[in-house]
Amino acid sequence: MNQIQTIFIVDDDPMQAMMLQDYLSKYSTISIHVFGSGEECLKNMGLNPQIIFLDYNFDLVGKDAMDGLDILKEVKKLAPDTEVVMFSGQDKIEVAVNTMKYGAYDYIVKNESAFHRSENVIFNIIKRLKLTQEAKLYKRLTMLLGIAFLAMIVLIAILYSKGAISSNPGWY
Amino acid sequence: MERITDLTFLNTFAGGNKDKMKKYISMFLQLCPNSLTNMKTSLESENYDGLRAAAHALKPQISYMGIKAAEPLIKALEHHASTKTELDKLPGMLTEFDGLCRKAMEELAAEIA
Repeated sequence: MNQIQTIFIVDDDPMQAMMLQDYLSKYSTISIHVFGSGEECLKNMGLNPQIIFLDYNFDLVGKDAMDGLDILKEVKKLAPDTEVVMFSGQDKIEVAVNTMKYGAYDYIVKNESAFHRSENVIFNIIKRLKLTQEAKLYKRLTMLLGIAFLAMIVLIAILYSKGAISSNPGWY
Repeated sequence: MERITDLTFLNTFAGGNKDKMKKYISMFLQLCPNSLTNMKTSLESENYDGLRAAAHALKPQISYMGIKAAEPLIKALEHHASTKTELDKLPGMLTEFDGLCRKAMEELAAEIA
């Protein structure tokens, strides 16, 4: 869990938000922030959340409130690396597909298994983060090796041109 | 009298912690009456989007409190309000749903008393 320091829960249903916060609070190293609207979430993006659990519907906030899809788009604009997991009471496949199209990492239906699924999603995101970090490390190592090899060729060429080494080292 | 709430999920979720269960039940008892009022006023004013929104928001809570008999009703209320179909059935469905919720709230209040 060390890779995840900050999680946002954005939901206008206080009970859902509180239950998810309680469920995830067993991971004491993670700082969990709860917001009742998308606007509040966007104002606090400076806290650099790695994961946002975002409700799809914000009907209870008011008619002018941003809906989940609008918030998802804004989050992805502001912080493309932040993973957004959509939460909804709807189990319609087209809603899920639509959220994925706009960059949601996963879609969870609000029911009794939602909390366990949220935990699994966090584990999957951590696995992905580890793989990304490893890939970055290998890329850097490959680059370093390439530079070292190139430097060696250049050095040999310089030494050769100055006669410090010859094509016949006289070893035999 | 047969119970209409099943707290198996909530008990497992709270890990048997009575204080946590009390916290969730108290929150439901606080939120549910408002949701029912919203649903009723929305229906009375033929604001079907409002009815759909209120039903949609209450649906997970009904599931967490184990009010199994009310689950198909709230799903149907949300569906018919959303599609604006079988509108004549909505008042009867809402009355039945309201009755189940009131009974569930009595049981839950007794649970945490």
